[in-house]
Parts: sequence; structure tokens; C-alpha cells
Amino acid sequence: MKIAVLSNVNMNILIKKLKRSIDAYEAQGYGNYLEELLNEKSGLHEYDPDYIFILMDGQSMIMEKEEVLSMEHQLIEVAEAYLKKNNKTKIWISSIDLYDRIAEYSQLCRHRIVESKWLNNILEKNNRNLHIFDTGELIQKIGREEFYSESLNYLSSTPYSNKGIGLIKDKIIAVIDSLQKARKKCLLLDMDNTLWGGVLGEEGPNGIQCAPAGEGKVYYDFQQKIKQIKDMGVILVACSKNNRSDVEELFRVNKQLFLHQEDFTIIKANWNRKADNVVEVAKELNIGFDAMVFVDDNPGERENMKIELPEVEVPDFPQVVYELPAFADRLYEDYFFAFSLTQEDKQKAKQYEEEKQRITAKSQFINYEEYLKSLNMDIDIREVAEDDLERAAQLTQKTNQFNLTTRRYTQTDLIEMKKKDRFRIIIVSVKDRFGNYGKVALVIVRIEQKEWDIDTFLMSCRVMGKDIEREIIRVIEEEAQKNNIKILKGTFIKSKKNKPVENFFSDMGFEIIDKTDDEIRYQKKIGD
Amino acid sequence: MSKESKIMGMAAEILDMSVEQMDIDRDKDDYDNWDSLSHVQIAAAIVDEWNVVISAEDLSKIRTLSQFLDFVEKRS
Repeated sequence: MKIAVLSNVNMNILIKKLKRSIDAYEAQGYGNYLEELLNEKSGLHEYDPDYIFILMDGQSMIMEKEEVLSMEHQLIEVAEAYLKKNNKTKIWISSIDLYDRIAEYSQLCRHRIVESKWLNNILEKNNRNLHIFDTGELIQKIGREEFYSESLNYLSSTPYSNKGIGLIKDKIIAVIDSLQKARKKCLLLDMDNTLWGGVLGEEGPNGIQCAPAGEGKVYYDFQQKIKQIKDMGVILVACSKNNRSDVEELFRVNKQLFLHQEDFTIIKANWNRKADNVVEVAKELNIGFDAMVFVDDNPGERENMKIELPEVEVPDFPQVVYELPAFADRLYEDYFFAFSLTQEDKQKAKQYEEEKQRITAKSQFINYEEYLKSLNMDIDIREVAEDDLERAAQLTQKTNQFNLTTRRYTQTDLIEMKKKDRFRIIIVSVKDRFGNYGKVALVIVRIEQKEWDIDTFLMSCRVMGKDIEREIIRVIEEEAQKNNIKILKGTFIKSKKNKPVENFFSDMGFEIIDKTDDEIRYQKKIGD
Repeated sequence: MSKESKIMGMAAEILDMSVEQMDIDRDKDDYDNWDSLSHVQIAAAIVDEWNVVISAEDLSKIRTLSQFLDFVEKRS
């Protein structure tokens, strides 16, 4: 890895500092950056750096009465020509800082316009190897008085103070690091006194502090920044000593929080040791400990994590809550900074939340049953209530693949059926640790004297392949048995789309009792 | 903080050394990394700290940190 710094002022102090940690080009003199870039026999070409930082001092340009923007135009042209010939090189051109005290009042701020045009000219090239190096941000951070040094300027044509040069150096190193280092993938967050003020278990879902105004604002702002980090493709995992039901209730009840339950790919709210939870998270997400950052206000928890899982990054927690939002900025800069995000990066994060993640989890478990177990599936099987009927009708209308009889019903049909004692309509909701699927399966059973006949059995394809059907059949059998029913009957009516379930009843242990081209009748004796 | 320890500290930072490694009377040529650039940096740090002006001629005569210190004592 080799870099070069070019400038219109003397940057040798910077280059010397950089050389302590990185290979850097030492130009002969300074100010001849255009020639260095243009001339293929130049020292720069011979050195062949990976990254070139062109740091332009704006003040020197206006003092020399140069036309700043036409100069920039030329510089960009030359830089792009260089990039064309050296396609693995990246070039940064700095922002510029212009100031002028000797002007009419209304003219004093005119330089701001030139500064932004300067930036815009670079951005608008849309060249993926040409970037901005924002020196201006550093100047804003510490102020011109600290950033510049008149004495160094007149003693050695270096307009910047030692401190200013130190900041430029750090920024160059940070940019390079962000290109080289693998960014972390997952942010593990404690909840009580980290994401909100107070202890949920004691204060209750409306007692904790987090609100868009007032005392909880600092936590609200912190959550907002955490959400921004998430949107940069980082997986959020909550890791908290709390009752899971309390945490779920909180997300349901408290509307003041900025983060929602869905923002967390995994929520570990339990009383297990945090390191054990983190080991599970690593397995579930299929990522290494070195891709994780653990944030907790409790120094004991942080110490334990450092000892038990030394690869997990454990930053110090701010001493004062007011520093939380700034702390979030640092988390991003130190661990999750992305030089540029591809569409894939962003989607990758989303995929983690959704189906892809289930597949990742699946691949980890050689044993399918173990995989299903790991989903922590919550299958709720119950008789329809009045307000389920709309969805139930919709399911009969829309479901094609996993639909054994493809009988379509309207809401009115179902209301009629529900009124009569001869039908039982059962609806199934499914949740797993990746999210809530809602009401996804429907069974209608016709009640005969000594037998139950499955009139409809359907399931949304979103939840196929999770053995939910097996569980539904088990519950129906159990229910039938309670009602003293000896025989369960079922029908498969062939449709264009329902081939995936043609063996469903056989798989569930039913026997064929009748068969035509388009229809197979089954039965299963129960309670034997 | 005395002027002496202040100068030692500033020079140490510029030369990327610890204060313990510094010697106020050691000649600049006997430091590994005290080149002309560092020389100017040290001078600039001193100029900024004590608001003194240093000419190129004076600067070329100075060879040790104690001479920098003398310079400051005389001018401020």
C-alpha cells in the first residue's frame, strides 16, 4: 500500500508524519502537482501510488489571485486523465477553505459559494475513483485559529499548525483504514440504561426514559443514530437481562421509542450470561465474533465480554448520558464506517432480516428438526373469531399451492358456516424469531356424527417448509379425540397449482379410501 | 510549567520521542530525526507559544534545545 500527497503548499511535515505508519511518496519540492500527474516520467508515476491525496490550500490560491474554480477545472481534468491510465488508483481532492476579511460586508461570505461549487464540481464527475477529502470538516472541528499557523506558514510555507497537520494525517489514515479494514457487521446493544434510561423490569414500559422531548430525549436521539447505523447495513441485536415478555410489551405499548422491535434482527432478552447469548447470536447469524461490537453501560458486563470473547469489540461506554449521541457517531466511525455502500450491501442487511437469514440459519443445522427448533416458532392454532373472517376468506381466495381442495369462500360464506354447528373453522398464526407472519393457514372441518372431514386445508406459501402443517394436523387430531371422534377424513382435489401437496395426506399417515382422476379421498383412524 | 519543560515537551512531540529520551544540550545532529523540517517546526511552536519572532539567520545558528530556550528567555 503506497500513497502520495500532492499540494500547492509545503506538506513535507505531513508526509514525514505519514511515513511513520505508511509508505508515502516524497515529492521533490511542492506545488508542481499538475506536472507530477501529467508527466509519465515523473517521480509520482514511477512511484505508482495506490491512493493520491491532492490537498489544496484555498487561502494560498486566492492570495496569489488565482481563479480558483478554473484552476480546479484543470486539476480535475488532469486527475481524471491520470485515473484513466491508472485504473486501480484512487484520487482524493481536498475541499478548500477560503477567507477574506478585507471586503465589503455583503461580500464577506462570497467565498462560501466558491467553496461549495468546488465540491460540486468534484461530485458531479461521478467518477468512482475520484473523491473529496474534506479538510474543511477538520477546520470546522477545531477552528481556523487552531488549524492554521502563521509562523509555520512564514517559516516554511506550511500554512497549517502541527495540530492541524496531525488531524489531516489522522483523516488520511482513517480513510485508508476504511478501505482496508473489514467493517463490523453486528451491533450488540444492551437495553436498560443503554437504549433507554431506567430499568424496564422496575419502571415498566411507560416508566423508562426515552422520548422525543424532555428528559428521555438523549436516549431518543441515541436510538435515532443507532437506526441510521442500521440503515447503513449493520445488524442490530439486543442483548439484555430482562424478561422477553416485558421487552415485547414495551415495544407494543410504548410509542415514544424511536427503535421498533423489527429494527432488531435478534432480541436476546433473558437471564442467561451475555457471552452465552452472543455465542448463540454468532451461530444464528453465521458471523464471527470479530464482526461484532458489544455496547453495554455496565462495566462488569463489558469486562466479562472482554474476557470470555476477546474477539468481540467492547468500546468504553460514555461516562455522562449526554454524550450518547456523540458516542453513536464514534461507534459508526470506529467500527461500521463504509467508504461506499453498494446496493448489495444495503440489501444484504435487509436479507439478514428476512428470508435469506432463515436460509442461513437453515444451512447451519445439518439436522432439519434442529433448524426448526432454532426458529423458536410460535404457532397459534385457534377457532376463528369474528374479526378473522375477512382474512380467512382472503386466504381461500388467494392460496393456490398449498391448498388441498382449492375451495373458494367469501366472507359471507364463512359467516354462514360459522353460525352452523356443523363446521369448525380454524385459523393459524405463525411467528418465529425473524418476524411475525400473521395469519397464514386455514382449516375448515365438517363435523359428521362420528367423523370429521377436512373440507379445506390451506397455507400461505410464505411459511411452507417449516412443518407447520404437521403441527396443525396434530392439534386437529387431539381436538377430534377430545370430541370422541374416531375417523378423520380428507380430500385432495387436483388443481393446476397444488402439485406440491399431492402427497400431503399420505405423509400425514392417512390411507386412500377412494380415488378418481382428479380427486383422492383419505381417512385416518385416530385414538388407536 | 517551566519554559524548559515546555520546550522539551514540544520538541519531543515534533520529533516523535518521549521527553525522557530528550537531552536539552544534545546537538541536533545527534538526534536521528531532527532534520531541517523538524527544526522549523520546533521554531514555529516556540514562536506561537511565546509570541517572538525568529529570523532565518538566528534559526540557522541554533543547534540545541537549550539554545532555543536562551533565545526565548532573551526575547520575551
